[in-house]
Amino acid sequence: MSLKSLLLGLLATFAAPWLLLIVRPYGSLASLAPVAYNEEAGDETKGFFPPTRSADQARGQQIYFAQGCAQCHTQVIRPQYVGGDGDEFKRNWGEAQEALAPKRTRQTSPYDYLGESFAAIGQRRNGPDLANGGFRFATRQQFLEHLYAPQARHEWSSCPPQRHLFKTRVIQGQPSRMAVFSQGKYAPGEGLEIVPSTEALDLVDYLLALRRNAPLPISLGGEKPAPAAPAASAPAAPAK
Amino acid sequence: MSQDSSPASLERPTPEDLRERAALDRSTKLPVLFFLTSGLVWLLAACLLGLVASIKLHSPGFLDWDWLNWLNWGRLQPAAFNALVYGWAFQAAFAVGLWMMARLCRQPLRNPVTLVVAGHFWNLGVTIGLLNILAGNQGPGELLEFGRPAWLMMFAAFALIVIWQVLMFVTRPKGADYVTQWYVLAASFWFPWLFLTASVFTSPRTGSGLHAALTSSWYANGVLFLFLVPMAVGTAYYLIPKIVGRPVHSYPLAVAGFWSLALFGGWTGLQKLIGGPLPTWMPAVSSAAQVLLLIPVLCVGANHFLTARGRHELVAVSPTLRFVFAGAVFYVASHVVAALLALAPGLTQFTAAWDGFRFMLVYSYFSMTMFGAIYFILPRLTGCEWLSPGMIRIHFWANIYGGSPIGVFLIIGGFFQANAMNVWSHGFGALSDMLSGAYVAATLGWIFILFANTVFFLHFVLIALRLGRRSERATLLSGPAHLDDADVMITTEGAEA
Repeated sequence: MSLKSLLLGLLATFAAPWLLLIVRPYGSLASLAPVAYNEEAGDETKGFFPPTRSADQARGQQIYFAQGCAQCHTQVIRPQYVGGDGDEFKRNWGEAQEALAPKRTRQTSPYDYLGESFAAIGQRRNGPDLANGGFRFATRQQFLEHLYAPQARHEWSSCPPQRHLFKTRVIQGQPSRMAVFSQGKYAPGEGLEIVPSTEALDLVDYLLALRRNAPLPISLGGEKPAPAAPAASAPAAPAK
Repeated sequence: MSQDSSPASLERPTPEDLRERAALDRSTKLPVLFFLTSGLVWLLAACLLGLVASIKLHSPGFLDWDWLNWLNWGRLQPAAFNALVYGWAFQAAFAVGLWMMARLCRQPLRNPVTLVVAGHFWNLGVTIGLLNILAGNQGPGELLEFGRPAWLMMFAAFALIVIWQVLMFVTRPKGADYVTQWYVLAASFWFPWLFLTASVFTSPRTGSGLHAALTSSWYANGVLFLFLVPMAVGTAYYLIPKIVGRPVHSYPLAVAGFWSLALFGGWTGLQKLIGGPLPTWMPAVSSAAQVLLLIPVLCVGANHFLTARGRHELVAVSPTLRFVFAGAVFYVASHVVAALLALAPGLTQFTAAWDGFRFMLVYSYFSMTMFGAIYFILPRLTGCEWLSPGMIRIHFWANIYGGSPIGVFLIIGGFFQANAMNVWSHGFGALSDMLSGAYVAATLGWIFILFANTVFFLHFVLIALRLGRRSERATLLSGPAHLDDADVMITTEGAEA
């Protein structure tokens, strides 16, 4: 086989998938822009979908990637034909964890990743999915404590602690409002406090904002809100 | 005469042939030894990092001191896998590819020093990338974690290295054509394309994070199936006929195997995102292509099997053939697993099964084939034979007993993991407990392969320092009682340098 025929053959066979799978979808994915909810079409929400992200959250996502969080945490709710994600967040990864109010989860839409420089779909689920991670803890402080010592809440957790994002220092004057673990097993000792760095705060801002509870606009295939009927007893059908 | 450059030749090499081959080997010696040595150092580093990462999966408290935050699993795992792929696998592919191309194109390497310089930049890039990951600064995307500064350096080095293979092919004498060359050239064609695409479309400036994630998934699969796989297939096409002393069984089958890989390979990669926020047809096409990649496996596997038919007992004799044979088993196995992962996403997606599969492909298949090639090449470069069949046997069996369980247990564990995640009543804690068995098995496996590769590295260094056996006869795994005509081939091959 001559170099020419080899190259021509490789070019022909490789250009096709390259154009169709990579180059062509770029246009449509890069042109996605926030969509306005339309009350006339039946949307009950006002404003735009998805909600915009703050600069702090964007910085937080950089830290999320840089620390390798995406190695173990995904952020995608798959349809029922792939896995049981549809009611995964609702059950909050099983009964072993705190009973949080059941939430109906909707399948992830391309719009959910708008404004991210790299979609945090993630690689594996050694830890729980974080598509709705913002609901997992009620307060910022709980998030910070979870970053500092993941095993504090769940002993079985294999999540690596991010203690390097915190600083232990001598309390001067008033203790910091942000300090974590002022008492208990992880407490730093008399006269000391553990305070989060800016990175830790940005990361928590980002995690707190992971709430994909904004309904999909009807123009994007979202479901019409059910008429006033009590939805609590309805079977956990996946959002389409 | 022109046929002699092909390993398919059955004729005894003439003294002129031997002199020519020795001259070719002298020209490639420096860069080949450089890439192999630095590759093996990275392999040991990858085994060490992989071992610690594996331990942390079942014992998260291991080495968890404040100042060791750079050993957090989220950093350790990509560090280990990137070191394995870019540190070891790519450099092994450079070394073996260069050596085979010089032999097959019958062109001496005219610029060995340029290659060694490029090789230093490659290693510098890998080092920077690895430190970047461990320092808590990794980039997003599988196999792209090194970050951009490291990438630029590595890509320039890559271009400088493979360009010589293309030049050798262009200037080859008439008739010096062989299957292996197609695979090496195709791999050198696919990787830059994959890489440039990935660097353009994962740039933060493209404005679509989703497209960046999609491209990175396509890239990561491409590195495995369009760089590592063709390099290993080409190596097996070179070594098997050489050892068994027979031409490749079927030329049409070789052509079919090559072009079916080219046809389907580029379509794979998005099956990892099944159920994700993409048009459904995209992952579906990738899944189908991944299953269709069993066609080249069938062609290549059948061809190699038929080439070696009747000579399979040589697996017991020749170290090279034994490693290549083990690699061939995992070649088939890893492709079957890849097809299963693509067909049953609900049972495998986001689980340890993917890690098991990647390990099986990169280590149990690719690396075993490369070990076989090193056992063949090194005596020809240094003019001395491997010291001890015992050390070769230890290297082989510790790799089999260590490498196979890592892949197999993680794959099986991954199926259980996905199943448990789909069941309503399983808490996440129960999930961790359930997998710890598979993780402990994997840790034992890493200990075995760390041991195997330490033994191999010592053996390698001794031969590279020309402290090997001075002999006309190659080091074989069993005594001369087993030898028949075919082994004459091995022994003369061994003595030619």
